[in-house]
Amino acid sequence: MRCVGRQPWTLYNQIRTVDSASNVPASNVLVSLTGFAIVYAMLFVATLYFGSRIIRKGPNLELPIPGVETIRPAIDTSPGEFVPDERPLEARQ
Amino acid sequence: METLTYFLPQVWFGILALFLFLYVMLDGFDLGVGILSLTSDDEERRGLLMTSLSNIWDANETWLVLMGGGLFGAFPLAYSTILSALYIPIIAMVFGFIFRAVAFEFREQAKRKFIWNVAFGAGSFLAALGQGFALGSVLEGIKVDESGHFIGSTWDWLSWQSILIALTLIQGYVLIGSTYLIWKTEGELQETHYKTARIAAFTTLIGAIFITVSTPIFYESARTRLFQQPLVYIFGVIPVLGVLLISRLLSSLDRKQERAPFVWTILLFVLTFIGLALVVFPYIIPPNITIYEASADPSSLVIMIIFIGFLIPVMLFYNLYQYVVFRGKVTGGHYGE
Repeated sequence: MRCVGRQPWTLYNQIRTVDSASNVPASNVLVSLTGFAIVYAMLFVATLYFGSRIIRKGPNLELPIPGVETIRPAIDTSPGEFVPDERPLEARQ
Repeated sequence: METLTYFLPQVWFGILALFLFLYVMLDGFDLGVGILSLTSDDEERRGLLMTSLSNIWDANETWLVLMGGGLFGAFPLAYSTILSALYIPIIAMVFGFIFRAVAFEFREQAKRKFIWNVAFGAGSFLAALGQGFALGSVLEGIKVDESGHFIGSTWDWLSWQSILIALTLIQGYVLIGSTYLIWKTEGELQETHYKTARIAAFTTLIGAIFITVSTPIFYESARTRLFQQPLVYIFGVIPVLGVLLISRLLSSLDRKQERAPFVWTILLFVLTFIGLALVVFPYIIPPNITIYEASADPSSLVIMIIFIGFLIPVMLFYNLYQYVVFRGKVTGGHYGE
């Protein structure tokens, strides 16, 4: 039996939504649902606020990259000695 | 098959009791630390308290999730009845969890930390309070019809006995939280929690004495259960062991031991838990519905055991592993030196 979730069935031809609902007053459910909506709305605003602040601040570029030295030895970036090109003129370019 | 219908629900009762115990022990100290943070008036201290939890608190709460799922699968009737009866305490707990969880993330970013300090402390308190009322009202009994469905009203969970149990549970959480901080911190911060642990040990003891005395007086079902022939000896031994453990705990606090207080507190929790489980068993919705009436079909219980059998060792492993990785004292600022 496949559950198709169609009113008034919770489980098609097996149990109706009216029989499967919890015995909790509707007012309780309304209060908690409203509570969730309010709390999550506030948290959404807080998330945007802190998130935008972190993004605007950008990453800390001063920090050394961890573990780089151990993986790759430092490359020598000092200018090399000038070696004059001694090929014939046609082969240069 | 006849034995299976008795055996399987018992196994599941055991598994759920294990989950609940691990949850109460682990999240107990972390809610306790949260409640303790309310008494601190120093940002740096509060920061250290939160740092001591930041790597572990969410893993601790997975046991509650697992217990909820397990209860739903193994004892669907108990799940629907208990959660309907405890709608308000459970919702309060969930809101407490939300505030506390976001406080961990947002407090670090915020320039004005006041709101998030309150969210962390009050959230922890609210969650602990909700759990206390839930425990209290389940022990007290839930009104059901003959098929086990909830027929009580919204505020049934509120009574003198459940208030007493909720307050005592909070004391217990503060106790285990203090002893955890004794283990994890040093210097002045540790000194403070030797003091709070001592106070909490006394208040927990007072609460426990009141509960132990009042339960058999006010609740007939608990009374008949407590004075049943073979069990009466166990229930006689438990308070004696409890007093013994508390005296060991107090002397370890006197001697300024760092780890022993936490261990003694855990043993106290184990003892209390065994006592409560024996009072409740074989009922899952006291005082009327047993685990045999509330359990799911044996075939689902078997399948679930197979899956949970794989899951439990994995979870235990990663939980232990994180404590190994993040072992050692939490230090920082002048409290660490």
